[in-house]
Amino acid sequence: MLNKNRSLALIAVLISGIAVWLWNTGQSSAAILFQRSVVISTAVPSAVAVDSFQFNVPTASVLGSIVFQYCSNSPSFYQACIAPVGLDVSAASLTSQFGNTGFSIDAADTTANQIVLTRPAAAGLITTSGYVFDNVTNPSAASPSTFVKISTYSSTDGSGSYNDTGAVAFAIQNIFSVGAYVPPFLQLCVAIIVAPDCSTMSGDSIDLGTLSSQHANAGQSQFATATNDPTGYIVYALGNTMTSGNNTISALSLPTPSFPGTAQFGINLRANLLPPIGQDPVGLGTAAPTANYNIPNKFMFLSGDSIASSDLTTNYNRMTVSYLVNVPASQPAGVYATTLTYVATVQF
Amino acid sequence: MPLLAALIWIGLWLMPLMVPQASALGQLTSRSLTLSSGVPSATGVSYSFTFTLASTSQVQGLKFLACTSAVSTYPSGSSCTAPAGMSGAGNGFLGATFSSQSGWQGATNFAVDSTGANDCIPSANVLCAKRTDTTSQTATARTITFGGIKNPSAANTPFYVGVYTYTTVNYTAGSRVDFGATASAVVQSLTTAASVAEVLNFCVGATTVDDTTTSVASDCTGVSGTSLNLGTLDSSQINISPWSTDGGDGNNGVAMVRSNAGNGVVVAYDAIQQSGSNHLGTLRISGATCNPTSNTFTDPCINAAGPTQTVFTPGTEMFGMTIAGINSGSTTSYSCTYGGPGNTCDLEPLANYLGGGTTGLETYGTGNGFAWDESGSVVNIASSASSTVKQVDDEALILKFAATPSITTPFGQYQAKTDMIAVPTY
Repeated sequence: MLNKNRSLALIAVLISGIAVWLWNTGQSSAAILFQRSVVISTAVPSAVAVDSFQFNVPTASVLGSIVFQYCSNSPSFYQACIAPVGLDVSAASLTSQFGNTGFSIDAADTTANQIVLTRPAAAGLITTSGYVFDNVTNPSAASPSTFVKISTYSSTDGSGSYNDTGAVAFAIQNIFSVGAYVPPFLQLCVAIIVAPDCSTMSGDSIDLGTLSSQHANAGQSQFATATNDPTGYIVYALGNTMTSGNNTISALSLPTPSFPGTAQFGINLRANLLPPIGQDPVGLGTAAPTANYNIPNKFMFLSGDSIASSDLTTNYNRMTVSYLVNVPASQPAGVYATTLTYVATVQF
Repeated sequence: MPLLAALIWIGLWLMPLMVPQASALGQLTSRSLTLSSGVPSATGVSYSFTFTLASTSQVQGLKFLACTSAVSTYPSGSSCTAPAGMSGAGNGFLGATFSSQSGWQGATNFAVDSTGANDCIPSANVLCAKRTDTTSQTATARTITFGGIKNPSAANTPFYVGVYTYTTVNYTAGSRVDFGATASAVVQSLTTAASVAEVLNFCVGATTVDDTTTSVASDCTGVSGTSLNLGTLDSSQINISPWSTDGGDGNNGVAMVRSNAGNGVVVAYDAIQQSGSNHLGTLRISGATCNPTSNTFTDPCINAAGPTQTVFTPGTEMFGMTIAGINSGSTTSYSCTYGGPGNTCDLEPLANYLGGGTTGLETYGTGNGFAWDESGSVVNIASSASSTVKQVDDEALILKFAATPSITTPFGQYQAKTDMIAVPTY
């Protein structure tokens, strides 16, 4: 009985020795897959990525299968592989290949962290080879390094001793965001003369001179407006007609041409010939005078009227407001004046 | 008479014992043989002999005899067997050449004598050298070295070389002065193997560091943050990170890389496509609808600078990124100094993402402008592939983002998202 046990032990030792020798023999002939890399289409955790592998096959060993094993701990073939948490390549599809070709995914041996490519065993080509896998689910957590061990086999299912090996690495990164805030704003400037972008303004009063029943008296001022309100803005004109004590010059309640010798006070926002005053709107914006104030040579004034507007975000527009005053011969003498206020509103 | 004859015969017999023979030679002391290579059958090997003469007479001839045993090299020794590999054409001493000597009296150097004479006939295991110089020697140490020798072929086997000195250039037995044996061996080459695993440590975060020398973090474990804030945009200015006022958080972006890939590492980004329609990869209000055309300043998408680097103008809506420089504050394996003709960093910003200066004459900053590819395609922005040394030790890209709105850029919270990728090629 003792001799039998000794014999069995001896056989076991021999078998173990042979196995180790065979393993060492198999590994010692392995060459390195050089110029190897993996490009992942996205490094975002849990994203579905396309992984593109490329490497040079260094030997013409019989090639029947290639194993891509994803590991979180080490690229070493001497260490057991720990599968990256959340990684799933079990549904990966091989979308393209070049170099050593003819492979398909060996579904039976492919796992959540290992893709096995298989083909009928044939001599390998010493050439650059590439394999693109779609539908790879990235690991679920950011990590500065995730490894993929690549090994080639003569067998068609990734079993036995590998021929050539190499590892590549990629990193999983959280999305990096850049934030900024654009505040709401409305820019309005009013003066006798304003720059189209409100960068300069000058003057705050107009002297229409001595009013006469023989001709129209006219003057002009300007305002410019812009907003980033998506609903745009409205500019209103507020104030009274021209007065001198209890004496007034009647305001035009409808767009009306100039008739010297009659009492008329009105404004518009266009270039006029009768009388020759004003300018058409300028600027890159989308604003326009409202209808009643948008007729050349016709004037009106109704306090609180909207005189210009834009219904969307708009760059600067500069509007020129023309003032028309006519008086009859019976107009009482005096100094006539008025103050107009321009108000722009938006609906942020 | 018979007695006389017998005495003469006995005398003739004893006469050789009275003539000084090998036992009369001086002993070379402190002798050694040093081989430049102990690899079996190695060629072009230098043999350097060191010894101290016993005699002060002139030395004009040297003989070196290689055998498998020390005794065989002795003047009165047994027949010499040449070490394996030191016989036949092209082997052993047959290709030897004089290399150098020191400690010898007399200005004339020895030379290999390929002809030999008398006691020294050159062969694969016999080396003869001579010079014409009658200067008396001192009993001091000296060396002589010969090159072009092919080693014996048997690994882990010692061999012995006897050294003889002669007062003549023709190696007559009577001119032999000193002798000594040296020993050496060729040995099996010992190969020590180890493998270095592939390394990649790549991380992205936010940092207040705004130069090339202040350490961002000791390594990737210290890099944190997933966002930066450019604050409140104003059409009168360009907000460039780090922006610390009007809501800005004072951070730059940073991407740190460590890789031992022998073919370099490439750092790339792609713009995450956000929800909404059109221009999904730029600085935009997430979920908003933007105009399909570019260069519109009224939609809630700030125009991307595009793939070509552009210098921004305040008020002309634009968003982009650049690499201000390579930070080496955490690099310990080598000296990394970014910028100018003395740039020694291994990572280099690529075209359209070099913040300042030109390749080889880099400057830290954003003077070259910004770029941003909103398409979502992967864009390479830095690489060590063109560096002489392609491995990278915790070099950090300082990423600067910039934006300026148009006067019509709709108000709201804008955001751009990026996906940073490192691709080492081993």
